[in-house]
Amino acid sequence: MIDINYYLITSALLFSIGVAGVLIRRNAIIIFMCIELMLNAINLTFVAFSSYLGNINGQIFVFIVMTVAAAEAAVGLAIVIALFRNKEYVNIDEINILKW
Amino acid sequence: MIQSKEILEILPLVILAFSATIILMLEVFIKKSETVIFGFSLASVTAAIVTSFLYLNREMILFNKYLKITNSAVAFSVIILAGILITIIASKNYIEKEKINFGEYYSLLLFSVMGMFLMIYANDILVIFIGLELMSICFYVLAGFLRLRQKSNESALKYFLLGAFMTGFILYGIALIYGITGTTNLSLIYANPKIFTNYVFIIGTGLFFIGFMFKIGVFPFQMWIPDVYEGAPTIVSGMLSTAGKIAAVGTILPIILSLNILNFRIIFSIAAVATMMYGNVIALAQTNIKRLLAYSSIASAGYIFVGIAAMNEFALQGIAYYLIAYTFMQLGAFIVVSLLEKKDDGSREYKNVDLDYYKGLGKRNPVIALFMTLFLFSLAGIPPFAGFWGKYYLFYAAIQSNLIWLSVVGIMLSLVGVYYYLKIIVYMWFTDSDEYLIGEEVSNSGLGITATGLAVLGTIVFGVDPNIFFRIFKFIIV
Repeated sequence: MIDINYYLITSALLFSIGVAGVLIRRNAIIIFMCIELMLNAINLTFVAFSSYLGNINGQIFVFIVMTVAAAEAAVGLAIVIALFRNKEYVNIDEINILKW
Repeated sequence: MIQSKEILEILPLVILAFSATIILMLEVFIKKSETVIFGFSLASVTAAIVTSFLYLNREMILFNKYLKITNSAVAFSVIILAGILITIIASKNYIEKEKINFGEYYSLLLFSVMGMFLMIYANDILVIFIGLELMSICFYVLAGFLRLRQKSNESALKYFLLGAFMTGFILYGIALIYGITGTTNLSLIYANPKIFTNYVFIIGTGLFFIGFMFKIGVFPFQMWIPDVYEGAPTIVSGMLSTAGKIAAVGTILPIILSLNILNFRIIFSIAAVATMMYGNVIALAQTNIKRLLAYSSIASAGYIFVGIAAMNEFALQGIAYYLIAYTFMQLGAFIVVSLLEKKDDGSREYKNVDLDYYKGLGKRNPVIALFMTLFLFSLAGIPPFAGFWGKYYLFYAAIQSNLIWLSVVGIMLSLVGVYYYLKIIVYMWFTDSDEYLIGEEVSNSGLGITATGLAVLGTIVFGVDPNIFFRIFKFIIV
């Protein structure tokens, strides 16, 4: 039996990598992939806690998170495509017509 | 155990879910379905309002403790539905004007309302999460609904990336709360006060609240609001700024009151002051009316947080009252902007949303200018309009909790706000129009005027006699 702390530290690291990716990368699709990485890190946390507590709720939560992430991916990629049709690029540095 | 009769206890949710699905079918199977769909969605929202009132004064825990119906939840849901009703009435002419008259628009609106209801009625963090995502995903699509317009695309992309990013934080918070308490049920979490001082629990709830502060638009998580509200279709901006915020406030308020986290009051107070200051001061420099209203909605989020920082029995009533006043006046102002927007002539910009366009509006279009004046007076907090009483109850709640400094700062900052609201009124009545605007054709759409009239009615009725509201919703503190 591996200690729960290893799982939690791994998932915290993955989450941080996701956050760093969102803040550093400039391509909308890569930012979105980093967000998915964050969500999957959270899934790992849920499963680790669920197994540690002997409680099934966490695993059900993981299924719901996966479903929601899929729905979000569908909408998000559709938005990126709509933008690409109008502007021909998805670099967020150049998406700058809204500012004060 | 789930009993089949429990489905009758959540009629508003069932009605919204069914009608949102049926609208998609109508769109496919009926030719020229626009008017049918409009009538159908209007009828289903009205039915949801009527059925919501059945659950007043009947506290219930349903569906294996997943849903909990309380008086305050019913109040928040009725406020949301009132806003959505006005939004739908005003939408028809606007989406015809912008050539986006699709049935999906109404379907997405109703699905997002269903998400808000799930959040407000939830007794389990799982349900809160599902409701939040249902609401947010519909909002991302609605913000980008003018898909040929770059500004709309851009606002949808910004909203989507930031919203999904913050969802990650909410979820991580939920995971930590689950790990430390072993459950996601809110009743069970409240029943174990020893855990409230555990630092993992505090970090978890902190992340959870940060996500909701983003949805409400509280400093320092407010940067997306002006961009999204400027780029989204005007009616949708009105809906995002009212219904979306009410749902988020209605979700976290009972949690904050139940957790009894008085030690963290100072954090909420500082967030409230920073939000009011940011919203009111930056609004002074705006030249685009949609952006100005967006900053004014940030300032309103600050006033709401004054009530949340108070954390006493007056806060719930004050916030509920402020939210209904805010729904009528903010939504009304956005509808007026949408009425004045120029017909789409293939251009890719929003037209007539600059403040300069409002110069001399009183002479060109007195009815709409009068309505706008009433909404702006109410937003500025001038009696006898509803906005005045809203701020009054919020600051009263803060004073009852000995947060006198917070009330004083709040009142001073709301006086700053009076300047930019009155500036628009002066533009409308006491300035001459630019020459090219004189003799311009004014389109007065019947439904738009009806919706604005309803909002004016709400602003004035609740302002003249605020007790009407408290007579309708006899509050029990959660």
